[in-house]
Amino acid sequence: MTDTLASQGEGAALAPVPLDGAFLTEKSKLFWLAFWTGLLTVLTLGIYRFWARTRLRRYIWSAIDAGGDSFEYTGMGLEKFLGFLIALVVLAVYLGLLQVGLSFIGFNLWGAVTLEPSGPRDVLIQVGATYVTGLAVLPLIFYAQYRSRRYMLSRTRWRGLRFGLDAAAWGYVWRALLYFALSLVTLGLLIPLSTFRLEKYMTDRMWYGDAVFEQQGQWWGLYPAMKHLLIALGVLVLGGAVGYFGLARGLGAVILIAGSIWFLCGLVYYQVESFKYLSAHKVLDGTVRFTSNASSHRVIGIFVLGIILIAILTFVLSVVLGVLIGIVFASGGSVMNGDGAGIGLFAGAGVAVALAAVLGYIAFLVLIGALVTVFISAPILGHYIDTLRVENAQPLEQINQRAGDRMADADGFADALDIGGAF
Amino acid sequence: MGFTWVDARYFDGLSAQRRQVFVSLDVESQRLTIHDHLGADLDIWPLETLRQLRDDAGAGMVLCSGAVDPGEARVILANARAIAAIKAACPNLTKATVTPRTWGKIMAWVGASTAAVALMVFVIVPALAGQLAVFIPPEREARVGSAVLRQIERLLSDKDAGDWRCTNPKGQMALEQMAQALQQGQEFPYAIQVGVVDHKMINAFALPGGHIIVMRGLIEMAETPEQLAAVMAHELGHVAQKDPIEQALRAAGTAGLLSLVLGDATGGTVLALVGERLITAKNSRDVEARADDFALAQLAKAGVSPEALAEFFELLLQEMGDPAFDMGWISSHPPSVARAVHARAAVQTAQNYNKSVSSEEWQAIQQICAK
Ligand SMILES: [Zn+2]
Repeated sequence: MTDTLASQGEGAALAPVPLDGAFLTEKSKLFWLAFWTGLLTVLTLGIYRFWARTRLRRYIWSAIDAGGDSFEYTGMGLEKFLGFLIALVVLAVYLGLLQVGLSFIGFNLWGAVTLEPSGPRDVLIQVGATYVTGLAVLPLIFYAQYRSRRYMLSRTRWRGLRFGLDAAAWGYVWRALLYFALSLVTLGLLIPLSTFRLEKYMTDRMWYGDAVFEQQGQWWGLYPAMKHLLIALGVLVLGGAVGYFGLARGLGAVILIAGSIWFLCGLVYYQVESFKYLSAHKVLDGTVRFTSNASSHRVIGIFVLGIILIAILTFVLSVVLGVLIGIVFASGGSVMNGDGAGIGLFAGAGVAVALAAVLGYIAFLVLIGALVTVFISAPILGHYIDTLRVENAQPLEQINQRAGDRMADADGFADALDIGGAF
Repeated sequence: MGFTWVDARYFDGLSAQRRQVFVSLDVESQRLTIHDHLGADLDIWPLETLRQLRDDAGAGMVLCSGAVDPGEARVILANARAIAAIKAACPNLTKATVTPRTWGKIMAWVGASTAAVALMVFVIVPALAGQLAVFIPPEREARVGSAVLRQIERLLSDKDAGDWRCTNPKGQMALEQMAQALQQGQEFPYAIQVGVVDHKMINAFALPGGHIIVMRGLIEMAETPEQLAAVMAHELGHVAQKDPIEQALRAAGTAGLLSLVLGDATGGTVLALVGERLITAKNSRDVEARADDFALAQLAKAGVSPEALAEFFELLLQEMGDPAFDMGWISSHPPSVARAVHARAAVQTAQNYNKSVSSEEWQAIQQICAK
């Protein structure tokens, strides 16, 4: 009895060992991976996108380091492709029937509305008819969100152990719908409730090995994170009032623009601050805690810098491309100036120029996508990871492996519906 | 070249404990041996089973035995020379093992998803649209038509609003007379409203609720009033079959199905547009044939020679290839020799055909957009 007490006392006496996150990536390697896989995706008419996503994730995961050990992504392109095919069968049938049915109802409703909407009721019906399709897809979107998080976690390993998420997508769907409606009805005032409860639903079902996570804290704890959004709203209302009452049109416009920019920054602030709050109140296995020191200034800075950098790069590149195409055109023109026999040659050159222009354009779009990954998405993720700390890492050693999660449909629904964020 | 006793990290895949180990590569016996820190053998991996985590960010080589996911234990090597030696000695480092069963599954699902999409686009959605179109009350359909008309109005009159419609009263009267003659023996649930739009495009179309819109370009192209009457009779055929509202329902059903397949890959949107074009072309062949038959019957009833429809198709065939034409009626009504022949077959040599309108009235129609 005294023995166990003593050993417990000894364990408690040890200072808790923190474990810092670090994002270790070379920009050039990431760029070439994103560019090359993006190009392959286009050349294969989109089929390669599952493998492209997988390869990018493998790279990003392996760049995430916690306490000297990097993460590992074990998903496979083929299983993603298969999942997409499965989701496609379900979605084709569901969306086809739904859209015909809804537009039938829509036409009947629309018909009930007088030609020029004569009151708020008519406007409401018209707007409702337009958005009802979107609303009908919403449950699927939430379903896909949960499933794709589950797939991603089940394919993530750290120190050889899998993460996991319980199979509970439908419970997430109805809750998400409920909180979405609540946020809408209260004009966004209950967004913290929605953010917190949905995060709690997922976190409480999330595992590392055989250890479960828990989301603690209170939903109203997220209100300080709303600070700048509320201020921005105030500024927008002020600007609108100044403009509307004709006091000073120009001043009103300036205030409105300032308010909009403030609002965008407020959104980032909310994202960062709510992440910090939620991280600080997450517990793994009852003992392991987390701290995030992410800074909204840094995130906004990465955004602005990235956009400026990409704008300059694309501008320089388009000038170079334009000059090149001009040279090709000029040489084509000289062929036409020859004699009659040159006309056939010129037609060939014309096709070549058109083909080169199309390929150049596509490569250009892929390039911008790759630049966004390298200069915006990855650095922002990197900042979140660099500022994340596991407070007492010792209990982690006691955690054991969990069984794998097969998930035949992988994150096919998210792929088909094009949701799933940067990575 | 092999190596012995190189530092590495080892995770057994059972617990989160990190172990410092030593690994030795023996090329002769084709195996990698993992020793614990005391030197005892922890694990022995045959070289052909070794797999490497690819696309890594370069923090070290992650190795496992067997396919990437089932192989639970991991060895992480940082030593550059050891990594090079392993790359040289192991044949299957980046090999992905796909069993024939998996390929079978993939093929099955490729077939299933193709079949599902095709079934929806070509069978279920058209059938459903046809069934439901009947249940939309005519007055509501008319309202939908008016709303669509306003949408077109907004689209066409980008500069001077209200100027898009040709309203010369004499021409309008002659046009309505022409349309009236073509409705003999037919009951429509709503009044047929014919209008001309001041646009050079060669096009004519029917909207839900009995609106028939003819564009100025088509009137200018027609060589005789009978050819215009033939096009109008064809459009009346669409109205009689409730094609416009059915088409709207069908378009709603297939919208987005193709972009679902192609994803948001660059260029995917263009492909989706082309694909949707092909779908409508495929779906509309029967619909067009029926509208042609309706037109031939109504032309005959009005005493106008069905030959006019054949003539108009032949006119279009001649003008095909002109890019200005590809946007209008031609795109939705691909003229073909077969359609012209079919129209000509409806001509009865024994019968005497009349003009559809007098030459003064034809002039008035031609001047309908004059200010
Ligand atoms: Zn037609």
